[in-house]
Amino acid sequence: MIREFNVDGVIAERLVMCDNWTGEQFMTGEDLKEAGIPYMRLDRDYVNVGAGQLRTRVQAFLEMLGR
Amino acid sequence: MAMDKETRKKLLEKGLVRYKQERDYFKFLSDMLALMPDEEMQLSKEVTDITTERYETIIRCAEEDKPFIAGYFNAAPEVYTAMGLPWYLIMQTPFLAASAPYLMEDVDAAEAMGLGTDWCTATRLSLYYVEAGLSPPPTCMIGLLHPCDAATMLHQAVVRNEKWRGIPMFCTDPPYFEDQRGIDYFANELKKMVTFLEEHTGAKLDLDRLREVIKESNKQYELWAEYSQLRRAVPCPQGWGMGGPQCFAVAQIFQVGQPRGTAWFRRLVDITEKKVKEGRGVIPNERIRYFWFDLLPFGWCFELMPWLEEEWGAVMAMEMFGFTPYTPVDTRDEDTIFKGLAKRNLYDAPMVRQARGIADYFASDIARVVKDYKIDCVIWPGHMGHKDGSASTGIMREICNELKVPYLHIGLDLFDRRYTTPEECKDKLSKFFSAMGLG
Repeated sequence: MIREFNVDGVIAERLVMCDNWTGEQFMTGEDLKEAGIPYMRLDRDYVNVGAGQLRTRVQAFLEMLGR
Repeated sequence: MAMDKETRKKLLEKGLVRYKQERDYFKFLSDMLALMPDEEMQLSKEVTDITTERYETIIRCAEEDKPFIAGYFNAAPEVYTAMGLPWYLIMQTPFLAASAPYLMEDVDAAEAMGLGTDWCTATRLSLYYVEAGLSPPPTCMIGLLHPCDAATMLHQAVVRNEKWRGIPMFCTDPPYFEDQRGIDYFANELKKMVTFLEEHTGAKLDLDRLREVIKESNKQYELWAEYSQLRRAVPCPQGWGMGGPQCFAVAQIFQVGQPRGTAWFRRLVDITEKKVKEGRGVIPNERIRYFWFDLLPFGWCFELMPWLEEEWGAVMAMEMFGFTPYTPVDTRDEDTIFKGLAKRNLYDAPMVRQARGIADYFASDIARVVKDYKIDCVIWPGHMGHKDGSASTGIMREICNELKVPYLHIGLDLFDRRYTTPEECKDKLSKFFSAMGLG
């Protein structure tokens, strides 16, 4: 999908406390590191809180991508 | 793709560095215990001796290129004994080295590697040790798909590791429900595990040898049950330092189905029986009997438990790993053996019993222990990785309300003292005891 859709970077979102996605985030991160694709781990809560912090983090990631 | 010899050799060399440090640590403990003539200390020394010997065996196998495996106490270790396969737990280091000076650095290194801090620290550390090359790569390994999500993910991540992906792994598939169909299914999974082990280690399983091992392990469990009954006595003959942790280590890890382990249990029962007859408790003035319903108290808890005894006269009368009702395995034929092993490993083994499937055991174990062991309060330490248990805290509280026994949920990390500091834990416990009029 990364190739087909010309993806510049990957954001992996995870609900805090979710063990399954902690593992997935780690494994995906390692794979993307090997492939040289920018990657960001984003933890969020189940309810709609911390939008400001999330925005800041995504913004920083996009800036890193040069967008 | 199988790992080439040169890569394996390099991995082993690095993986054994930490392993040898741990062996030396246990050797040191044994030497210290040798200076203490007390018979209970000598029993503990026997456990540290057999732990050290297990380390030696794995090191020897690794250095001489002989097969050894990574397995689990809840994946029929009786089979490994019968096949003559030395084994170690991937999760061994976080537990056994929980008091080691490098533990905090390792926790920080695991975090720096990108593992979520809300992931069980035991699992996080285990994965870190594999990723950092600090675990000796086994000939093949048995993974887990239970009792928790973290354990499942750990093994997926281990398989993903560039160096370890060449190591064959087999995971038994655990059924969710507890019924005959589940037992039959898991018995078949264990048979598949045997086929896997035979294929990748060259060792063969002899049914008569397995029967012999299981008969011996049945004796161990019978003695363990006898010992547990002795802990019902008031005052309790032993506290946190003796009992469950060692019984678990001997019967399920280091001496599975071996006569030396059975002899150790006999000595334990004899010593404890004598204390009960003499009315001697672990502390002179027992005021509170608590049930510690979570992982074994390791690492920094070694300073919390003596404080509970000294400050509050609080004795750990029973804990999760010490109280696990074992059903003897029927050794008549292959069918009864594997079904018996399935039940023992799936429904009886500590933690797996409570955390794998339905939550009933959280309630029924509390009810049983509170009544049988004359418990004054139930403490759910709430290790941060035990989301299953923390999700059942309402059930635990309800059953304690019904039994009219106070219940405390602390919320801590059994490996990382910074999560909830010992001082904070002590404060919570003191307030709880005072509010409940205990001690």
